[in-house]
Amino acid sequence: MPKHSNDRLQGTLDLVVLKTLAARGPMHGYAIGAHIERVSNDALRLEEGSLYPALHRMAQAGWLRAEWGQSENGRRARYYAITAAGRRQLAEEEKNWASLIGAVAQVLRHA
Amino acid sequence: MSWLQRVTNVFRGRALNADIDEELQFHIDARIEENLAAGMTEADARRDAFARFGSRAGARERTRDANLVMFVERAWQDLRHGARMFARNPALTAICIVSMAFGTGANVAMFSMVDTLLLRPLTVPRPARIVTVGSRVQRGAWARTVESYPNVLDIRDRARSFEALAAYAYETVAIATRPGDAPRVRFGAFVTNDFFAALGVVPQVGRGFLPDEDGKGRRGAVVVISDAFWRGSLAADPAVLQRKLQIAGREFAIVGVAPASFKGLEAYIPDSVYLPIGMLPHVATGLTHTWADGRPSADVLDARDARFLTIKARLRDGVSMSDARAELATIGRDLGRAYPDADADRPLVVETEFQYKYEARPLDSSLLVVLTVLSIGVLGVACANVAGLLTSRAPVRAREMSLRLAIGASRSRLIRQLVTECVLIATAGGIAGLAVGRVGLAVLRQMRFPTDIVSMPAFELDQRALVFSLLVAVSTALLVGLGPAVATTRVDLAGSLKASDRGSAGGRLTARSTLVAVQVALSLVLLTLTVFAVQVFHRVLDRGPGFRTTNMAKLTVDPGQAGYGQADAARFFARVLDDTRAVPGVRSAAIASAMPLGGFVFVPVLHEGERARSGEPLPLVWGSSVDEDFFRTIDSTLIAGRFFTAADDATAPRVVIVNEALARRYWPGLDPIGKRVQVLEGNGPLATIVGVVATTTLGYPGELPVNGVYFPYRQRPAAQMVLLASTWGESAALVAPLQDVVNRIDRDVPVFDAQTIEAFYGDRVTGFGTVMLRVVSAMGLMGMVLTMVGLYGLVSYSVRRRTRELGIRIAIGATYARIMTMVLRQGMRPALAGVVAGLGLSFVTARYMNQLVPFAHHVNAATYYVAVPLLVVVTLGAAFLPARRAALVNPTDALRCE
Repeated sequence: MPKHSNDRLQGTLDLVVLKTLAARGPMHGYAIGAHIERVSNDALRLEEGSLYPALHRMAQAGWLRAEWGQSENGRRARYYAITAAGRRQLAEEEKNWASLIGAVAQVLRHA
Repeated sequence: MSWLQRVTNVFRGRALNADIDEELQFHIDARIEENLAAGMTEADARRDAFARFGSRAGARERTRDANLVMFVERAWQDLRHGARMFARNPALTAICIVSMAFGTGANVAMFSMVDTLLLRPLTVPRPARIVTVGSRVQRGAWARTVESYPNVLDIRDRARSFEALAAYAYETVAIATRPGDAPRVRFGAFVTNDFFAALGVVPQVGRGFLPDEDGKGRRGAVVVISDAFWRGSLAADPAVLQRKLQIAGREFAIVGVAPASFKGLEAYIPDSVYLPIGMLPHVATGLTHTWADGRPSADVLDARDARFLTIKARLRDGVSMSDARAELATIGRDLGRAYPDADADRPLVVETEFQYKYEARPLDSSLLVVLTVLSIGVLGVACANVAGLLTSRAPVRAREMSLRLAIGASRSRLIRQLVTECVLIATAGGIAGLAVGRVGLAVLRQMRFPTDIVSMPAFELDQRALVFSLLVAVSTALLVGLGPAVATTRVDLAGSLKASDRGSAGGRLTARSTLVAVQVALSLVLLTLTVFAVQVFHRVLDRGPGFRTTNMAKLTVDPGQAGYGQADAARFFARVLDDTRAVPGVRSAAIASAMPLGGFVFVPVLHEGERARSGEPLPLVWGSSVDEDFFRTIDSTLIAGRFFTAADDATAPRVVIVNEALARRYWPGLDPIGKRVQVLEGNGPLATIVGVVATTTLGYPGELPVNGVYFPYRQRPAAQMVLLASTWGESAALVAPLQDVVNRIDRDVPVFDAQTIEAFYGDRVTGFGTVMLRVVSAMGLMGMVLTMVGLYGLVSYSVRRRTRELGIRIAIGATYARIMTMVLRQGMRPALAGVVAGLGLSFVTARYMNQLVPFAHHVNAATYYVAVPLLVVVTLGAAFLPARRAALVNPTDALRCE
């Protein structure tokens, strides 16, 4: 899968966004950000501007589908939903994440 | 985001930016609202929102890049992957590219021709709004859309659909750039006075014509020259407006030069001069006709039924073709009522430029249609090759596809990959096709008109051809590749990851067999037409045109352009003939107003007693005024009666000689000598037939017999005559002396088209025929080669699939011969099916083509006796090699490999 040549942190953002959308259905960018903050008890604070390049990138990669819709207060907002390819990507990222955690834990335990 | 959205995002630019801005703004506004709800002040709320968001410009840039970068990255990846795949299969790639090259090359060459002759828009502003108006006038085999001058004026006054209207007619005129110079004959356009303004053509120097330059009195002796004339004949003299031209012996002042962008209205007449229509009676002299009813020029502008002007009109904004047609139909009816003799039952039509061009020269257009159909056939065979190859690769790709699907690629991504590969082949094939097209055009460019005054427009591979080539290549590649691409990705994951998938292999074989059958069918059509072309060509050359084609020279002489009247011209020609006969080596000399194969010149001729029915086209017959030595000079065969003598002059009873075709048509089975015909032109309508000559080729080689009539020169004089001189020696030696004879008698009389009869016949028949033959055979050959490749591929493929089975057969004792026949039989089955289908297709195509370009010869049994066996042998040959390989399979190897 063509991956952004970037580092793990960007991958983390992807993972978190994909998981959010998989769990909660289509949301717009602001809601996604707010949700992540809330669920992580404000521990994960995104620079909110960096959310949108990521969302567009994932949409280009085919993991998200983007559509204009009506928000709760009647304004036009862009809603993102996860696709089948996105779900596959999510599964892989979760697996990678788990093995990464496991590996780090190993090192910490036995180093 | 859908694939389409992703692509369009790349191009949406400004719209994309606006969308992104809106999205980011929504976020900030939402944050502000939440802050306000939490109790912050307005100012704090805003500040907090902006702070948390970070740089908006940065976010916008990065978001925009995310869209673009991904697309470009992917496209690049697809291209590299595709290139790698092709590098790994050089044979397949080569065949695909060569096939596409043949297919697109043939079509690009044809397109260039069709574009130059039919499609290119007029070189005036907004050419799409220009239409041709007139009534349809029959001229023998085809019709022209023309009108008379009085009608032109009425239409201009009455029609509301047009914002401007211009009319023109081309006539030969003799032009000298300096007084005393020998004049040169070329086509000049006589135009209505607001011609340039009406078409929107602004002269680069000087002006157009003024309304009062109408030829009455001394006014109107002015000329506007084309840019090509200015550069070619006047060396782009900057003082051009001070120059004068001698046209038909009169002095004309140059008042303007047309812009370089204006290339005239006829593709075959590149550089001409423009004269006010009022000058027509003074210049295109009273003895030169171009309309069927022989009206003397002096009356031609006043006669409402002298239809010779082409009208080009510009549609007003907002007016559609159907509106214009309706209005003109009404005007036509009104004119018919007002002037029943001239205009009754003469509906006015409005044509697009394409329609006009197509019908102006129907034989040429038909030929173009035929050639285009052939080139599409070649493209069809090429596409079948590519499709077959892609289909056979499907199982190999299927494995790769399943792997990628399993690790998470989306199906659309894979399809995009395969489509990119198709586009790669297409582009490579399209570019290679340009090389093929260039060769084709080089052949086509050898077609020449055997005349000085008209030239074949240049066929170039220009920008339009390039665009066309790529368009054809890419669209056919997509068409051909999309099917296999979709099928390839619709794989059963588990099934194809396992060992060799047998399931759909049978289906693939059927698909490829069908494709080969289609190729064979198309190939047979191409081959049949090639054989037919060869047959016609040889028959035409063997039979000959029926007149002398060696040891003769010709020269066209136009004393009318030097101001000679009827009697003077007769005396002039008598002198010319005497002097010509005195030239050493001349066997005989004669004059004729029209030469066989020198163009269609029509005269309306009826049976005695037959009445011309109004509204019906007059029966038009090829006609020529000849002197008494003509038939002897060109070696005509007399079938009955006698030739003309000097006694057949203006005081004698009117006589004519007809050819056999006319005799048979008008009096089948009877002796035409003594019968009388009505010649509907000029004076003295009834004439007696005194002789019948063998029919010669009059219009084009291989034509159906054309009715022809000959008049004694003294009874029907013309100003422009062709001087013919036959010789015992070399005809080339006669060309200059003929010109000298005329020059010595009167230097001001223009001469042109001086050539030997060999050169004339060569260009008109042999040269043209050779070019056509080469083009048609090339297409037949390309089709055949591509089919051979296709069949070879099919048989190889099926042999490879059956390797195991063949191994077993050989192991249990099947002989070489047995295997060979088995494989050949299987391979030839689709080929033979194709032959049968091809026969049917050929019948239909041959009939259609015979309607378009009627030849005296038809595609007959002999054609098929050659074409079919040839194709069968060729396909057998293609299947031979893989069959041999099958028969030589080593059984142990075959059984081992799996």
